[in-house]
Amino acid sequence: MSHNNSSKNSIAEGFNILIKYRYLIWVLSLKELKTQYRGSYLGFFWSLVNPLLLLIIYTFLFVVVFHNTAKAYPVYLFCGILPYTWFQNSIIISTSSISNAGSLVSKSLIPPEVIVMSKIGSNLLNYLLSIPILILFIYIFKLRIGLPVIYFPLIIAITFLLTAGISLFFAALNVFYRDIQFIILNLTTFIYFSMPIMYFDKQLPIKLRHIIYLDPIAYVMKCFQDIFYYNIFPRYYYVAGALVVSVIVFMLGYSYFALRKELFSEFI
Amino acid sequence: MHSYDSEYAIETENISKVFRRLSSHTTLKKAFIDLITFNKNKQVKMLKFTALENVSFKVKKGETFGIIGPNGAGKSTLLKILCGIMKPTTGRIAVNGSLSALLELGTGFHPELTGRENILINGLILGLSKKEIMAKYDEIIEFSGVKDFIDEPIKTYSSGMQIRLSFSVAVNVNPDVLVLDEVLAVGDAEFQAKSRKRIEEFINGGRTVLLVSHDKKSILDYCSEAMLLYKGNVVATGQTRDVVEKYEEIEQVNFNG
Repeated sequence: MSHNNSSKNSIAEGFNILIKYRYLIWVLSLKELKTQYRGSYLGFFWSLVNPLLLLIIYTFLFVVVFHNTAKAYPVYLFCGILPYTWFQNSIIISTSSISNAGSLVSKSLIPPEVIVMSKIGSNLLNYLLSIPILILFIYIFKLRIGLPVIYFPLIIAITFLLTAGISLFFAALNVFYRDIQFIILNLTTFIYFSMPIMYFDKQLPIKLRHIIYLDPIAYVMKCFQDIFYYNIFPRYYYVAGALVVSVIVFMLGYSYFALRKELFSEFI
Repeated sequence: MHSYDSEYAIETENISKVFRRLSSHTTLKKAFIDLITFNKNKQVKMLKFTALENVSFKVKKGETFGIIGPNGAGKSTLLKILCGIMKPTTGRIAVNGSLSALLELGTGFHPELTGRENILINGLILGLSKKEIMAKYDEIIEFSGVKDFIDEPIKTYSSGMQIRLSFSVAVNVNPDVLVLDEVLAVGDAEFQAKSRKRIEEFINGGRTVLLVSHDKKSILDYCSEAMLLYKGNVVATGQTRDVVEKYEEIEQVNFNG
């Protein structure tokens, strides 16, 4: 075992770490989920309260105030809010995860990737656990879930890659520049409002619409809406576009992380 | 990965470590002033600190090797480099076989989780497999002596109980090369006797152990060979007794001067 050979193929090494430490990642993700609400009376239910409150506010705003006539608007909203919450929380929590990890980075032999992955994993679990609520809403508003749902695992995988790439990049950067964690909060909120999650595509001016779809997460949100709201197969160019961009983002983000990770223990 | 002679478990060659840090109280304002003025006396300075200088040593397979030195000698830095947690500025390291390190007890412990849950997390972090932990759960719980509280959150434990639990997990690591950083003396007298026996089993089990301490007694008791680090340099290597004598000389000089 020699430590000072630079990792030539960092992506392959990254996947090896993911496979080798999959059980630890799973256990740490569960730990996050368990400790998040332990001691509170409602427990995991709090994970559902936040999106439900948002839902009420936006429904009031868009249906009552702006007279939006779209059918089953709350379902549309939920399709986007839930995965975006996964995406946003993962990035926010991951960004400070390495700089706050303490002895987990400076005094243990586990690769730091594991820490970031467990943050994304716990937020993914949160998301998956909220799917029953979404399905409940779909049936309350007399929509249907059809065959397009077979795309769901693929879209999850794409979102995971995208989230992981961005999270790893910012987690590494935040070790050296602690300002990042404060920027991220504003950035993810901005991205949230810039995308058709609470409003519809057609409400955007046509010129702006092209700009919005430069954003890879907008494609992903589109796919989630296609599957659960429109009940149609996600358009293949959205899926393909999102896949290609996610793979690139993951490779870039992880390459930076791998390049910097040997310095983490000195700077935290 | 290791093309080295199998006689040695650890081989290092000229390891040096220089830490670079910006001077404290570095602010954007000072950096900006530095940028726009041509003053040679910059306010933001890069400080260098040499923690290790040309450290070379070899540890034979099956040997218990001690590293001794006063606080700030560079012992912990050297350990982190050996474990791959930190990168040396220059030099080469080769470790033959699997390596585990006990640099701290209870890494990953969470106060809200139960003793049982923490055993699993801590064990996995130390490099034990799920299978190994499952097989040894009862033994770990028995050894820790906190059996009655094992399903309670560990925030309800006394600090002594927490240390005993973490130690009980730690003694189950089973690598070819084990790195130990002053974690030997924990708990009350009864537990210390128990843990001492366990450590001796470790050492007599044919495993290579690297023991780091500023305590002369534990180095003398366990190690056949040792190395004295002082201000980042190797001052002496060889028979434990000679190295400890040298350490005492340095202590005397520091004490009198």
